[in-house]
Amino acid sequence: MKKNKKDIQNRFVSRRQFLVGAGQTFLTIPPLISLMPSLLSAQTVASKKVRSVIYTGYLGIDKRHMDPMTPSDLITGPGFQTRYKMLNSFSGPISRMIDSSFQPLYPYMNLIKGLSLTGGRYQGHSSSWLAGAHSQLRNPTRGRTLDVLMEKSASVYKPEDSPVAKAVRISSEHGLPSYDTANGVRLSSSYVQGDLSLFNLLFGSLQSGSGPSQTNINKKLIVDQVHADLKKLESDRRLSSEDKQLLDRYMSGVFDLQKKVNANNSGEGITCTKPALALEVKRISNSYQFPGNTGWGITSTNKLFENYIEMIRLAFMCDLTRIVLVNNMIWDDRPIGPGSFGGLHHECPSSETSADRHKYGLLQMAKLATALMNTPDTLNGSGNLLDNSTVFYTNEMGDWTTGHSVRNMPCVLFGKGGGLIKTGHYVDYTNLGPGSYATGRPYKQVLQTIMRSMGVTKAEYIQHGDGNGFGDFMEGINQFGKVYPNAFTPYKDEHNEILPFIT
Amino acid sequence: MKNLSTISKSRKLKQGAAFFILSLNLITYNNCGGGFYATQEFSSESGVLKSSFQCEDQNLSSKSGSHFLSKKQYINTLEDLFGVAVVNEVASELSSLQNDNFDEESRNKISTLDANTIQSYHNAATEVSNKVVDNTTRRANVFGSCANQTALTSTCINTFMNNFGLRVLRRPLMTTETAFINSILAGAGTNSEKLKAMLGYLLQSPYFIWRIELGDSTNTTTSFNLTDYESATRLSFALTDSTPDVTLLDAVKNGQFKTDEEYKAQAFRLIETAKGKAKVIDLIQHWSLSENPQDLSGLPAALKTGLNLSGIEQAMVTEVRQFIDHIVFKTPGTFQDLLKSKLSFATHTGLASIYNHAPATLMAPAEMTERRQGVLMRAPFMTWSGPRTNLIKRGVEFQKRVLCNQIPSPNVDIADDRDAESFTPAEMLENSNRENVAHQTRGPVCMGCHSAINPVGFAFESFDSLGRLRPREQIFDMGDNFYKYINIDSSTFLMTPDNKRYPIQDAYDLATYVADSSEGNECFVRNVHRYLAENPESNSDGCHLNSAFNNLANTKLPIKDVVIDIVLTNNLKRKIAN
Repeated sequence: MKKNKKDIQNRFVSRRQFLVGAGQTFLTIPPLISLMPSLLSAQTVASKKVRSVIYTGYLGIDKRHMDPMTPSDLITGPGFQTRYKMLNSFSGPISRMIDSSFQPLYPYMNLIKGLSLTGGRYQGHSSSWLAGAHSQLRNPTRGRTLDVLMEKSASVYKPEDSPVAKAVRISSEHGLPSYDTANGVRLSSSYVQGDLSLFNLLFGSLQSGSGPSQTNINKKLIVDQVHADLKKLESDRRLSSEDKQLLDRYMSGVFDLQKKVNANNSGEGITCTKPALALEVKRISNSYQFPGNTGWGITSTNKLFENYIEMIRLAFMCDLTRIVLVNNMIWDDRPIGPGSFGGLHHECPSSETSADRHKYGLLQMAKLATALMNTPDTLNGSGNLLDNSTVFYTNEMGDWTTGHSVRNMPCVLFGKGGGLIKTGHYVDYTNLGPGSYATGRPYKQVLQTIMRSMGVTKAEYIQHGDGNGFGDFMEGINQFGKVYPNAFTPYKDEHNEILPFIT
Repeated sequence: MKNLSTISKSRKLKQGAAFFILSLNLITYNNCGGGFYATQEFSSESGVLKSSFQCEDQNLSSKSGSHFLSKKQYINTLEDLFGVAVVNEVASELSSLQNDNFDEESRNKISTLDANTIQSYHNAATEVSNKVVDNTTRRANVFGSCANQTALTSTCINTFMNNFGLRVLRRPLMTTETAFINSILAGAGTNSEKLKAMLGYLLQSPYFIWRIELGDSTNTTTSFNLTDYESATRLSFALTDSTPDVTLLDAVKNGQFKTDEEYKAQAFRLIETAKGKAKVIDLIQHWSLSENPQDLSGLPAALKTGLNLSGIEQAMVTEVRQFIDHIVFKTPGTFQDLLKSKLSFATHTGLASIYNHAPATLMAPAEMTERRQGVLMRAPFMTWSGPRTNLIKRGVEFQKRVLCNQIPSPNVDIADDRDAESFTPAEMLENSNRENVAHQTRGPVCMGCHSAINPVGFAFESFDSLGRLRPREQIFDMGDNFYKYINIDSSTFLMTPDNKRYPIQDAYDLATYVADSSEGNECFVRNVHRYLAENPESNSDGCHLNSAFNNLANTKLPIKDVVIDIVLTNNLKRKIAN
């Protein structure tokens, strides 16, 4: 990806920030970081501004498509029921979905297998896998997805931070698997569709110039007055309980807006220049179409992702946001609508076709990872953006058919997460021990690993789940009426920890 | 009182369970429930139709909640306040607003009000203000005599607040609001900056974005009268998806929006406006499952031979909308007309060919001659992107939307069993689509739901994936090569709500059943209520929904009158606070 110095020309880097960055340079370039103890890496992470991208596709990936071409090559890792192989020791394609074009990224990625949802029951279309939970309930009334958890964590954003958006979510017509629960009510996160919407969200409110203009002063007056109007409503006894819940969310949103307007007026806001991009959003009638709808060809989809990638790169570089969730269920130009999923597995004639479509999403994340790898991390003062980010490629199921299994869900994790994550591995956590059911580790451990890289503490994330930790954990499984007792018992003491081996 | 929202489920339960018992004489777990109810006799269908709406108290207040403007309502409102050109100019800001997201069945709006949404409202309001104030004509339209004053005066600003301010907030401004606008007037900045700030404030006010209802300010009881302005706002958004127009607001201001007759006059006026007609057409399109025809480009060439498919999907939607417009507004017709009329407005040669008539003209609609009638048998609902029709999708959606029976999403346990029962690819080639589905879903567990789904799907098998009537099914292999013909069998039977088998020859009979049965009429009333009120029906709605049902099913009033009947109830006047 072409680097543009103009993109960062107005970014203020204080002397203090420079010194901090210089110090981190020393810390983060020791030889063989993968050999450092996790604790030391974690300490490094805590002082950095780490970013996270989570890419989710719809329906499932055939786990066989992630298998290495020669599985017998894998090395058994000590103590972890883990098998692995260094990516750069493979010759040729690693698997159906990881071909040799990924080679430049090998030092920055892990291909992970053997992670399963551990709620006691497999169920696809899980709606809750990003909360580390199974989906016995289609609309869970507890838990919090990791993007929301990170967005709301005081460990990720400090009071002095004023990003344009704490989290950005990009999705298609079919909604978004991101949610929070409050008072037993599931609140879905909002999302943007198309590159123009993303552009407006990230760059629309940026101002340039030395002091606040009268326009900006008026903006502040207006937002303050709107907040006062809401405050007055708060005490109105005629409001229903439902209205009061809406009011709380409304006030919270206006409060965030106040902070941004104030930061902008005080000159503390981000002043990166707006990128010049040929945006691809199309308008049909009164609705704004996401690629995949009729009339949107693959060329446009390529361009759209190119724009997404560039905007995410700039947003990370300028600290406009640190959390991005991309939910893409469209892999070709077939229409979406009731009963049609844009050419995914219900319509795929074979698992090969399904793999091609899922691979498209993986390639986009590889392009993003490459762009981040090629961009210096000015904000942290050392390394590149991929050193201090994670790009997580995942799906909601572990198979491509209508089996709806969430066992053994393959994923790819790019980036070193600020130094927490050791990269360069093909790693398979599938438990092959006597009496096991080949389930592998709790999937939520990879989510916890990402959260920890962002600075979220264990004490924070374990609050959001079934009472025993983040997400769900049960020792046994009941799948389609078949009982697998104690399938996850080996992990009962460590399911709230981050993944071993790669940290 | 029985909760109305549960009634349709009860019907579904009994329907699935009844057939299950009849056909298998066995009870086992099924995801469609296990209840067994009987509320009416099918024999009554030949006389007075009866609904299951319970009317216990005519004076119950509406439970309808306060709604944020949907994206559509927000854009409509901006169009009505400032003109279409302004909306087009701020398209990029509007694109960032959250798309409308409704629960498919209850029509409850699923709100996602968070920081990004608030930011989007802020950006849109700012940009609209810029586009209005920076344009001489628009500035004069909005700010009147203030537009060109060298020094803004409180007199013209007061006029702005009393006129345009009232239109934006849909009520007179409160003291705090006028005080803030006056503080902008007295503050620093140019005239343009001040006018932009005043308008920007109104467009970001929670009272603009949120249709909040507080009633009379002295009222603190749990059930209270709405103000006339609030009632007018409800009426306007229910019928037009937009803000009250000047005529309606003037009526309120002049005390001419208080009686039932005055309500009725305004309602009949609003429903005939362009946005009023569009909303009713949207509603019926939604109910009749004819909103989203599938992309047909991937169908095998053999299915498309000789057919003009250029722009066919849009032509299908246009034709349905013209048909609905004709029946509801030009005739004006009844529910039976909507379901039984054989008129077609297909001017597109490909669509006319699908409907098997010569292309119609706008002045001279064509007539369907075969076993096709009404809005439920038009092409959009029947289209599918593959050569085998999506029989199950047809069955599920029809049961849910047109008959109001709840069909849960496939349970993985059942899906697993169902998939295990599929024919092999080679066997599928030898069997019709109906036979394949029947075989795949024959298991006892599957039949809990498929006993309701399949008959509807079977009935529609006389239509191919393009929506063409067909006497026989063309079977294609995986490479889309033609393999053989198999004769169509679309005969089946429905289980009525009183658990009687109702034989039907095909979808034609199914449409007739919907038109003439309590079940079909009642479900239409539910759909209208949910769509207009943006809420599922509650106990307090029982009386007026029952009345509307009688007007639709027995008195056979025009659909337009019934829609207004559903809106014009005491729900416009009172509300439960908590």
